[in-house]
Amino acid sequence: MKPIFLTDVERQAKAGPMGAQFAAMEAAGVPVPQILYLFAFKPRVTDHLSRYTQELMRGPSPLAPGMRELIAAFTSSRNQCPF
Amino acid sequence: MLGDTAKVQAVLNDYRTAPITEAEKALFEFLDKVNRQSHQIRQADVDEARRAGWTDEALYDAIGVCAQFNYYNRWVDATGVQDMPAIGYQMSGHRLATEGYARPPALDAANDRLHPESPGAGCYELPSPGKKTTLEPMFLRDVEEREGGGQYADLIRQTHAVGGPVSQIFYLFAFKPAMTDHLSYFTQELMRGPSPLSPGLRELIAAFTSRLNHCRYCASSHAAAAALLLGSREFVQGVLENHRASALSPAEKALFGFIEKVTGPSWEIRRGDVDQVRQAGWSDEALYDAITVCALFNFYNRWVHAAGVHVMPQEWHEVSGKRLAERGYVLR
Repeated sequence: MKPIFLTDVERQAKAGPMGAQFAAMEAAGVPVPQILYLFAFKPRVTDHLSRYTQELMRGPSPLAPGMRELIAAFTSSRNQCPF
Repeated sequence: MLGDTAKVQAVLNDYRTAPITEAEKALFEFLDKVNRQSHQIRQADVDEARRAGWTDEALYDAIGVCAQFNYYNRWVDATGVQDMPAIGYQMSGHRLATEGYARPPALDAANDRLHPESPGAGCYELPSPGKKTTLEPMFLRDVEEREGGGQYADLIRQTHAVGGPVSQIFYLFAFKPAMTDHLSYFTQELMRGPSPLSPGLRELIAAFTSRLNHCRYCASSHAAAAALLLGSREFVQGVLENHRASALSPAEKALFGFIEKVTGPSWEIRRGDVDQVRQAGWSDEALYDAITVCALFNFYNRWVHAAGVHVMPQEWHEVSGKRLAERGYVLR
């Protein structure tokens, strides 16, 4: 895969504590979702983002987790298909 | 996770003709508006979704998810996260469905860090009781009326006790504190943590993004915070009115031009756009931080608009700006 636009972010993510995991995935032929580089770059910030997202998507709610995922997919598909 | 790929695809193609219930169609119609023109959401839009059978809590959660993916979409678009082969998405989907977004041990550690002690009373400088001004109720009335919990519920009680103005965004935080505590800490780290961008410049990016999204509520508070941190209200006003003709440096103008694109059609951002702003002198870390701030305020703007958090008298926004500038995003 091509590197992300912010090449230093990807490079530093691969050189950081998550680097071994990324290398193992690549060695096993598993595509590394590049969003993981964004999370690995500033874990002090993104750890909270992960936990917030986890609560939002899986925490107690009248909406089932599947429905929340569908809303996420709906939003994302709308934002990639401008009118 | 719904166990029906065809149904999911039908909703993504056109929810109006998809094999889903009328209530679900009404929800997606509402979310379509939250996504694209949240500043035009009115009480009537929320009432229509309610009539279809959705509770305020369901709408609060649906708005939260839609707004949050406006964050993620921009984060991914502007940093250049590339499309994966289909197998990659299948694996990601499986991971999210089984493990979710954060691993449990990390959650426990976070909770220890988040709640070392309950926030002390009087730790927050309350706004002085001014002339009585009442705001219209929020669109999600149950969210405003439920007592809520956590640090924001304490703040709401303290503020009421002295007759001070309650900013309605507090109700959004108090409604689900187990979730929003993490949002507060994320926002605090992003806006005040180590970065090549000063906190004042980050506040200015927040205000600028909010202005582009027509979010007067967020733009007013964060402009006030930026003015305090940067030491000039005129400078901030100039940037919000027309950043191209403002007192920003040429490098800053390039950055704000890029931010405009991240808030707008972020799916059109290409490597060349990023190279151009990098050539103006910004490091990848600076760009990462700027993109993340902009993306986060694309979340907040939609959250605030769709829940019906109303703009306040200017002096209340000044109080909010002062609190943000002096104490940040975590009430302690």
